Amino acid sequence: MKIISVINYKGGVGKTTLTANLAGELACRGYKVLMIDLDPQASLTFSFVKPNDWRKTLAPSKTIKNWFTPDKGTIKFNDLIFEPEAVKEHISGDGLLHLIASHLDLINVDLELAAQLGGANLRQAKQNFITTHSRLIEGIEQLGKNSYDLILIDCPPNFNIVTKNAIAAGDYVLIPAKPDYLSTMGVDYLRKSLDRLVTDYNECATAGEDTEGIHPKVLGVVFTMVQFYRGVPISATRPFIAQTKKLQIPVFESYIRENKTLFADAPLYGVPVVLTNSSRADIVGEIETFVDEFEHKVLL
Amino acid sequence: MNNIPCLHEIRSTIDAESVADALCQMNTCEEGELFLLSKHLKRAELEVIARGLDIPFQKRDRTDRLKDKIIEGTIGFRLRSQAIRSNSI
Repeated sequence: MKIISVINYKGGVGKTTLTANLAGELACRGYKVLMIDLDPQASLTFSFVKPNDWRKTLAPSKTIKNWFTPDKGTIKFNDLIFEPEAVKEHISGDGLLHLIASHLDLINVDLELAAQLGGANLRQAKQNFITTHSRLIEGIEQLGKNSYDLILIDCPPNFNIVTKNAIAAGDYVLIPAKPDYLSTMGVDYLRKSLDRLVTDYNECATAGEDTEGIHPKVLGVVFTMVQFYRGVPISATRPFIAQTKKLQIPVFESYIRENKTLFADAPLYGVPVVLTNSSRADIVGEIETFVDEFEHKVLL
Repeated sequence: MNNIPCLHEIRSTIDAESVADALCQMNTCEEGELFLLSKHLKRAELEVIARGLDIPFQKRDRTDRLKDKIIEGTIGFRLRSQAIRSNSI
């Protein structure tokens, strides 16, 4: 089982669209995929579930927020998982697409988690750091190693404790970025924060007897919302793609294209574009090419 | 008609590739500015360098703006990345 955190410090880079389409296509190819929505905006959740259904059936007790609240001892991680209905008919064979939904109140959970940090002495403080940052690791361990081929965690555009839980739990970090000035700067912020988290976590882990260190790797930057002219990204964006490659960050060769017509209302129907729009073979083909690349790097 | 000179037309006056390579080795923007100044480059030569680096520019860009773009594309982006990743912040 491979665990991937999908994150960029900069919001609005097409992170959720990427996660939903990657997950959908991999499930369609026969992989068992679990998506975890850690973003309080709940965009991934609302890409698969109608807000009214979420409010009635998931929000009260079946979202990732329940896992991070103090009384989590009474629930099992498995109880939070559900199978979105609309996408089910597009997946056949062994493939599975499951989701742990987010909650709009998840934004307040960070304050509660922060209150649990610190301690009477250094040893206690280190233990509390590990406990607070390992909540998601605990949950995923409950699922068992063979329950899914892949877990995709859609992270919020920040580096709060909930996000750090995702990074700590993950084998890889996947970074969607628009090829523009601010989005590519977000990649640098993220690398810095990532290095610091790994250092802090592993330093605290050495103080505990049973705690393993973490070693998340940057899987790569995938450029999203790319505008094309004559088959190549437009000239204003090409320097940002080239510069990112020169900074020795792995960069995916394939791009996700900007297309409001297809992507703008896809969440309304609960099925990712890649599984529905066979009439736009060019766009679907590009997503499939990205998934090929991802599959080769992570799953094969 | 496009009246921008092609690389081969001004090769006699400037080796765009070596200018770009030199800039890519520099560690401050000031160093790059002085270097470009010392070359006494004409606008057409700056355009060739920018085009070689795949840096977009517009006809209405002034020469100074063109130089800034070349320096940003060869030196500035590295410094920006280092500044953000620096442990001192």
